[in-house]
Amino acid sequence: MKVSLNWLKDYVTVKKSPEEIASVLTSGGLEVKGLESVPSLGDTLLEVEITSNRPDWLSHVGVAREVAALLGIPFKLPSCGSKQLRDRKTAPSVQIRDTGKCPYYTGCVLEGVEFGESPEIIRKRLEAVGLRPINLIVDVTNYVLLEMGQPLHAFDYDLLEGRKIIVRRAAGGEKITAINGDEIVMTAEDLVIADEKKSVAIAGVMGGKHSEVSSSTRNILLESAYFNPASVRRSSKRFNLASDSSYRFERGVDPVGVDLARERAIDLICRYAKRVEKISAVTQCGKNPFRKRVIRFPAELSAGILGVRIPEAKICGSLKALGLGVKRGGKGILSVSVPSFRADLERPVDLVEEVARIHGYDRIPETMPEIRPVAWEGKPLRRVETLLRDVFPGAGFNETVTFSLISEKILEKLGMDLTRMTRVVNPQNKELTLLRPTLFPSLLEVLKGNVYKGSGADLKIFEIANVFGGETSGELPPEEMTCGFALAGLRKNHWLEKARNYTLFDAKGVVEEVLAGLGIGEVLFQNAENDFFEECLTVSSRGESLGLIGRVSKTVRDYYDLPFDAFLGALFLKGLTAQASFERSFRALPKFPAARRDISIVVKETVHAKEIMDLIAAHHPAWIRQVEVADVYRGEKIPKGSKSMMFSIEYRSDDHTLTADEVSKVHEQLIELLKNRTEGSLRS
Amino acid sequence: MSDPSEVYNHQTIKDVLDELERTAVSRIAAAESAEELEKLRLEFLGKKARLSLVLRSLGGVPPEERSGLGQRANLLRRSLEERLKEQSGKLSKVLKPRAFLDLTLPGTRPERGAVHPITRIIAQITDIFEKLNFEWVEGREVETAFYNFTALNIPEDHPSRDSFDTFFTKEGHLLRSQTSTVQIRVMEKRKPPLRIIAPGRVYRPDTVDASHSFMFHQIEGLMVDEKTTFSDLKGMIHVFLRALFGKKTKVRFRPHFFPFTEPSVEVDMSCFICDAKGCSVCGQKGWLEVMGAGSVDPNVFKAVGYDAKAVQGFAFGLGVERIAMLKYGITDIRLFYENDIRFLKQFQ
Repeated sequence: MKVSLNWLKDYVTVKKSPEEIASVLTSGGLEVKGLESVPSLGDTLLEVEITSNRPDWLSHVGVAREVAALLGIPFKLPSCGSKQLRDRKTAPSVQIRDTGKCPYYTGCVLEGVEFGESPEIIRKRLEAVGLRPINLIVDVTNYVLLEMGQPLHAFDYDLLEGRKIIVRRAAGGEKITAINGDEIVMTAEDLVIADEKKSVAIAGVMGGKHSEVSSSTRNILLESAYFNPASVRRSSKRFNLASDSSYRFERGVDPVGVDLARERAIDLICRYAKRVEKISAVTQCGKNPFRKRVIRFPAELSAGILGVRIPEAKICGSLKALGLGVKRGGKGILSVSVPSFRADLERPVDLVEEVARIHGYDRIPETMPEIRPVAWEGKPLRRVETLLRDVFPGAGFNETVTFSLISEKILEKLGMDLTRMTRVVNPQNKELTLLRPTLFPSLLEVLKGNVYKGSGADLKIFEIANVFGGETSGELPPEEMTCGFALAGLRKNHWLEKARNYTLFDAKGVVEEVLAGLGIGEVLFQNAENDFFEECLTVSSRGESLGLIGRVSKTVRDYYDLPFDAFLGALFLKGLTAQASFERSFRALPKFPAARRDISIVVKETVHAKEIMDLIAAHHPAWIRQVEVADVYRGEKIPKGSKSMMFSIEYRSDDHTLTADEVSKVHEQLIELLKNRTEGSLRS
Repeated sequence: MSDPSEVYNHQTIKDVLDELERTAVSRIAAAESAEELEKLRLEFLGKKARLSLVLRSLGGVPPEERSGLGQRANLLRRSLEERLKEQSGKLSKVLKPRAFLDLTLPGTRPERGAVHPITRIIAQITDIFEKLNFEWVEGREVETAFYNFTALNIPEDHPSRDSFDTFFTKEGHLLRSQTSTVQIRVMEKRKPPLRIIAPGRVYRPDTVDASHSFMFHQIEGLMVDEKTTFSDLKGMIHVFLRALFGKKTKVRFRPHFFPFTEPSVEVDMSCFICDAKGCSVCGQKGWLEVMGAGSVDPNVFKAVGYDAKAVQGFAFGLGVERIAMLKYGITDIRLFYENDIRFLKQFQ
């Protein structure tokens, strides 16, 4: 909101510079975002940001009151009483049919009004704060709104059928054309101001075009009312129609100000119109909602909450400066009566904040709290997360942060079941509606983006984030912390090493590394089917699903325009955490040396390495301690459809040093066994 | 070289000594490489060397000649040993031309990735608070209106909801628009004393531009005990900001409004770039808005079933992206979510 400094000075005599005033207001909680000097008007404008708890600041009078309180100087209200005689006979007819939505409505008729444009002082002030002057009547309602914070509305009285005001709910589907030209269809929840036949305004939000005051208007009905804040807010939201009026009504206007502002407006019209023949008596329908509130405030409370003792006399002074009534009772209890414009003050703690504000937040000391120890609970999930953030970067993966909301398109294309997923109904981006059930699309988007921008051909990324399940009306959707990762492109080409493409085994390797770090044994990799993948392996341990990895299918690769294979993986933190063991135990180092022997065997392509390794390990469990795949070779001298695999075997006994003969004997037997069991042949 | 089983007669001994005394020293001096020298060492002093045979054969020499020849042989042996050593020393001083190795080639660095700058900042901040005895906790992202609004003293149809524009799901759930939800989740389950620090993703349907995103990260802190005061909040926040931004950091506390705290405060920090003198980062103001905080509103305690008269506490919240942008000099928030590898790698 823009505040004119000249205008403020009507209510408070302040000699400080605009900068000083801005600083005082800002440190009092009324933040001045900017100062704008307007030399043509000899004025300075303050751009203020007003928090939703202080609707009283939405006016020049309100801001002036705060300046006075913060600086400890006097403040005076504008004159609000016109001396003109009121004609009882012409008081307007007003009827309220929904006192919940409109507890209090006042109207006054001004007859035979001749008016032109507003006087210079009103026009200049309106222009300064960004409003276009129209005519005296409209300008006065706007002026009083900005001065007192009370929205007013002026109707052309002759255009109200039956010369009646009925405050009622709209009929469902009832239409009105607002002053701004919008055609609005209302619901039975919306409150309208109507005459005998039709609605003439959306209560508190905007007047109707039909009964708008124009230059030919002679008789005016001036409305000043209190509308229910929530009701105005709902209508304003429903029609996506906000106005200076709705903004103030939905925050709550000063109930006492309803009458003051009306009188102020009548006063201004009488002063500046060319002629006003007759002013009616005021019709006050309903009941002014102001109820005097007295808060029992133990002055001691402020020391307890703030951590600093402010003398009782100073507390009283601060509250009085804010326009609150203070009576000192016994034992440090204050009776604080709250004025009508401070509906936000309800409880003693609200007064503590007021005391602190006036005292100055910066004058409250800084202390360190006493800390009582709390029994520490282990956080295994966090340990797993920490390990993942260690292993993945250690293996060259860069962490990404992608949006949890994704497009459904790829999932749809892959024929996934989208019915049981959670979506947002008011997305910011029409595409991004789905709470992702998997991190894969997001990771693929990152690969795509990096390929497109030419950021490099060696892409390794990971992310730790929630994936979401479907929701039901009673239950929140499940959230599963997941670590997703992707590898694609060319493995880094160092000058000492040959570059090579990533393979599924790079993905498998990093999973193995993670599981080793988490002390998870009995790991099972199993072939599986997955919508995203050409080849897919699931990872589990002791029946607990831990994750999956795979090479993306051609459909997926094409969808993301990837020029190379991509490998994706997901690890489920819940499963990892359940299986993780951070305990370690020591095994005595071997006393006797080991002997290493290799076996190269040519087998059919379809023979699994694991089968052979299991056979080797089982051949002589007491001596065979380790079996590793040393090489897999296809090509010259190897028949088509076969492969040569080399295994490196470690022989070691716990009770003596194995002799070459002992090892050879077992090894020869092993070779024979493998040849028979795998239908393989030895490679010469 | 000689056959080790062979034994010299005394005349041969004399001949061998004569020859060695005449030629050996000059041959050693002429050796040009360590290999050559080693060959000579074997020839002159090895087990199969003629001199060794001479020494072994001395027993058969007539006694009157034995001591003379023995002395000569031993003397010769010692002198050859010395000469070999000397020549070896000389040779080692001569610089051998080495094979050319281009040492300007880069080293083979183990490949390392980086954690995301957001994670990095979260870790820095949570580390500080964990050292101050706060406990790291996580909450849900999809929430009910109770945890996001009602329990936090944000009533329905109230304008205070405007600051928390929110995504809703079909079943009327919502994506949390603030991490303050975690306060409620934790307080429902546990009794004071409580000190928690809760980082996480939050969502607001803002139009994406250089400084807004519909998803971002916040860190929420909460301390509840019997007498935790507003001055404790001030002290704690100052300690935190100094730990994060440096010892010279000054703080300014301004009254503000948050529905879930009373009194509420907006915290400004002296600009660490210009030392509060005014620069482009702080918009010439010298101060940077960094976080919101306040004493926990009694209505929040009531919502979680605490006795609002028996406990006091403070809460604070800050935007991770804002801190990261300030600390790293990033001017466009969208960079965080684009995940350009060249961007990510800068935070190794």
